Amino acid sequence: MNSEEKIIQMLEGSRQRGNRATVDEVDLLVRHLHVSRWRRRANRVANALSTLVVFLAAGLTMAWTPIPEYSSYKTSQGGSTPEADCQMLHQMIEQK
Amino acid sequence: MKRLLITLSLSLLAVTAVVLWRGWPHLFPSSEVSDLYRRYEHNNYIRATEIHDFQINDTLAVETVLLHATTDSAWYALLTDFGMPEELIEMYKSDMESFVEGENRALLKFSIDIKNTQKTLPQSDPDSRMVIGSLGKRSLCVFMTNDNYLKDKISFIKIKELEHED
Repeated sequence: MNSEEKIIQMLEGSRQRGNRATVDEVDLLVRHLHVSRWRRRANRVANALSTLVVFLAAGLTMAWTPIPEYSSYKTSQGGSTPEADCQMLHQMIEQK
Repeated sequence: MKRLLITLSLSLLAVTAVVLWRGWPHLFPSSEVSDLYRRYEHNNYIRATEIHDFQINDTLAVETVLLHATTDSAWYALLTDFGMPEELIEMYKSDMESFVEGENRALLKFSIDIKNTQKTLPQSDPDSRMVIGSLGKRSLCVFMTNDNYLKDKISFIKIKELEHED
């Protein structure tokens, strides 16, 4: 039986006794709430870490994926390569 | 454990999305070509090349048409097609070496009307396309954009190069 089930049982028992809880039952409830608070905090930290990991993965992939020099290349005749043509274009842009 | 699996799945999804986004044009290249390319596509003496999203630098990409004449006569015809005055072509023919001095220098830069390439237009006109030509390489490069910001940036790269040389 886990603590939640114990608390449900306790609440049912106390209802039957006219909503009166024993000291042990109150102690169990306090301990449960205390654990829940820490669990919520741990959950929040884990959520933040997960989000960070996802963003890091996307960011690093973006940084490491090289930008292609062109998206499509079509030529009417052979005799050259996309790399040679791109290099020539760069030279034409950068030379006076 | 469940959280770890969800995180790993989401990370994998993010990485795939980024790779697809970056590589999409490469995986599915555009088959469209410009009218300018089509005009020279079947010319045996001019090699027409269309390059989509040509990366000028890390931030600038532009569609370009490269026209390369394989013979002198085709080159002069190409210059005439692009509105080069006859006198200038004659001057170029008679003193070719002085125009091509150095290492295949690109000496031409002008803006043409994309609807009528023989007509020059101011660079700011929406129908104008910037042309850079290399006399030594017998090549013209036409930047198929009417974006003035892009044209200015390309011009700026050239000016910056000149400043570095001075």
